[in-house]
Amino acid sequence: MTDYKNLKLMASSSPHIRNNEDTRSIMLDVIIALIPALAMAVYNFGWRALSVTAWSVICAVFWEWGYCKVMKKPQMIGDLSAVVTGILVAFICPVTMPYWMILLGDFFAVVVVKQLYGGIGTNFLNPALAGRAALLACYATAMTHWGAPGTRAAIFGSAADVVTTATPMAIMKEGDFSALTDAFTVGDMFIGKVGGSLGETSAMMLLLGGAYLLVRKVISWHTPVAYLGTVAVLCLISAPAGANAVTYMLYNLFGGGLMLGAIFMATDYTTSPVTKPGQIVFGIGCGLLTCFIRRFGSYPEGVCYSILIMNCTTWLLDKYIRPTIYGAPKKEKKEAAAK
Amino acid sequence: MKISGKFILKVAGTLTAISLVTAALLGIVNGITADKIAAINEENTKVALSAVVVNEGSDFKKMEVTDAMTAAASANSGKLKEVYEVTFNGETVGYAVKVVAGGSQGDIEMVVGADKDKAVTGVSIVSNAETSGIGSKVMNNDPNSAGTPVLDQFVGMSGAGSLVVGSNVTAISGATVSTKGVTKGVNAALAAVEALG
Amino acid sequence: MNVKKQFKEGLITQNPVLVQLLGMCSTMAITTSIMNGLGMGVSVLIILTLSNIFIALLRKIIPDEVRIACYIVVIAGFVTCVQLLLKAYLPALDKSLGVFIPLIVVNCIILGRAEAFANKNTVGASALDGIFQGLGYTVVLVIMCFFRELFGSGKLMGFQIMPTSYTPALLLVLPVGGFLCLGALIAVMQWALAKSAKKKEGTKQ
Repeated sequence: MTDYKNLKLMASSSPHIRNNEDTRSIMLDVIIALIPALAMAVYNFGWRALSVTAWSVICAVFWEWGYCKVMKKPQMIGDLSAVVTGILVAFICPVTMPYWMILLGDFFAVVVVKQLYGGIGTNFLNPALAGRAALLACYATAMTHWGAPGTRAAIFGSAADVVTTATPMAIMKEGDFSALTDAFTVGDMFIGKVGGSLGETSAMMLLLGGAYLLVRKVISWHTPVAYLGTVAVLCLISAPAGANAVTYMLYNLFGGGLMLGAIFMATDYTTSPVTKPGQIVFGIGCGLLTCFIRRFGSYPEGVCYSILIMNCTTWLLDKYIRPTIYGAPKKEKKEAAAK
Repeated sequence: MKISGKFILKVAGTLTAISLVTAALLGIVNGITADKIAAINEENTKVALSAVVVNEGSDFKKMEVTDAMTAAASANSGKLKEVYEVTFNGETVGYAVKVVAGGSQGDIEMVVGADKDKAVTGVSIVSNAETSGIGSKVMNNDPNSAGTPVLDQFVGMSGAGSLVVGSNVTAISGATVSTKGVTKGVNAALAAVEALG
Repeated sequence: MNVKKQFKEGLITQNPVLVQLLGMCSTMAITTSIMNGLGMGVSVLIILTLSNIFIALLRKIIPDEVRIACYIVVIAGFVTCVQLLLKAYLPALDKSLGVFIPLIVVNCIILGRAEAFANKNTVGASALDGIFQGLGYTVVLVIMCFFRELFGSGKLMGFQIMPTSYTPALLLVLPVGGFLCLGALIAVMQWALAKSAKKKEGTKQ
């Protein structure tokens, strides 16, 4: 048995993670913050949403435990980070995703992306998003099989007979904004009565979770606000002809995985910058890329790839955007910053 | 360092000798394979072209691609590669055009056949990099949402630029971008044929 | 001349792809089906052996100052021959290997072996080196092809192996699958080499 009380400074490149107990309470808060969105997913897509999420958590914890066991490393599953990864992987997959694919997605997220790079605190990509990217590259058909809101996918059994729908982002990609406004109202988009990944549809519930995290000081406002703000501004100035700019912006903000990504993934401690200015730049970068991919790319949705791409710039942002040293003379400050 | 004439002679001489021997070897191999390669290429082109024309056993004559045709094709966002005149029993019955247009994952190269009235007689995909399982459905001519094979729906259509996904062209659901890519190519091919006069 | 040692070096201890990390570009690009892997591997094997033989033959004649130019002429000559022959007799393979056949000219394995081995050793040893290094390359290609084709498309040599209900993991046949596969293979190889080195040390003591 691992003595969690005495596990200190296990693998911490990020200053946030000081010991196992800290990580654990932070992760617990994140899990609590994700529950409203999960409740909405169950309301929207049926009990399968819950079973897929539970299964994904089991898989993620299993892979984390199994890797540490095989590699004879100290067990870290008590820090609950694998549980969060498991929930997030499920949240960004369609509710009809076969269970064995979830198992593989969790393998990629936990073993390949997180553990092979040294475990918690040392991975450079967001595990859940990397898992999703791998699943999308592997099983494009299953990953774009969206159950319509209100359908009840069977907990076991084939997903083929589920009524499918295009996601709001896919409708927009086909170049017809009016078709989107006909299909879903802004209210539907906000509450989450639309097609999409399991946990991404409800902007309302995700914002609720985000507010909880802010109050608990688990996340800071910098990244989400910079991210959402950039998307909002870009949408306002680039609304298609004939569409109301504000409506267009709201559909873009509430649609796709933007809320989930901005609140729960772009704020991941390990893979985002440490400093506040760095986090703002990070958020703006994510916002720009998301808008570019949605508007010009061949994929309808760009949140996953934009956060992954910005993850790769984190070391750079951490290197060049540093806080000035308190009390140091100006010249030394500059030198310290340049180091 | 002083470079002597003898040294230059030695260096240049060896390199030349080796090059000459290699060139001779290449010449021999080329002599053996040239005819065979030409025959294979001709056969491949013929198979691709035959798939888009009405009459079996048509003959194809490569035509010169004019600037006007290239411009017309690129105005419809396609890149014109080759144009063939299709003859059957000695009579010109139409044209076959090889074009490249951007799909979802990369370029789609296709051959589009047109009759004398500049209406499409067939579309066949030569090469593509579309996502297997989604875009590949379009490439394999699977049925679209309306039930017609997606590439066959173009047959009989005419008027460059008038083909639009969502109005007169029906996409395969989930593979709209790939369908749009093919539509771009068909529009470009029709534009090239129209530019023929 | 030490056949056994050369054989071991080519396949394991000095494996061109997994240990010397040469020729990685083609390794990742073409290993999507066993036919491709075999075709590419055998092409490289033939070109490598021939160029090694010729460079070993000419090693006393070629002036040091222009040796790289001479190697490239010899290698390019053989590559073009192989390409023409492939085009004429195996057009399907030529089409699927595409640009990677002409790119063998700049494949580091061939120039690397010419520079590191053939210009210092006898014709016989160089020929063997070409064959064994080529074999090492081919074996790695086929292993990668095996995994990528079997799990990425459910087939082997174009025949359906997996049950039709198996959903192929497309990721593996995409370029990213090449990177992941090669990385995993290199890791396994290094792990095995480190383990055997440790074992050797243990027996010595």
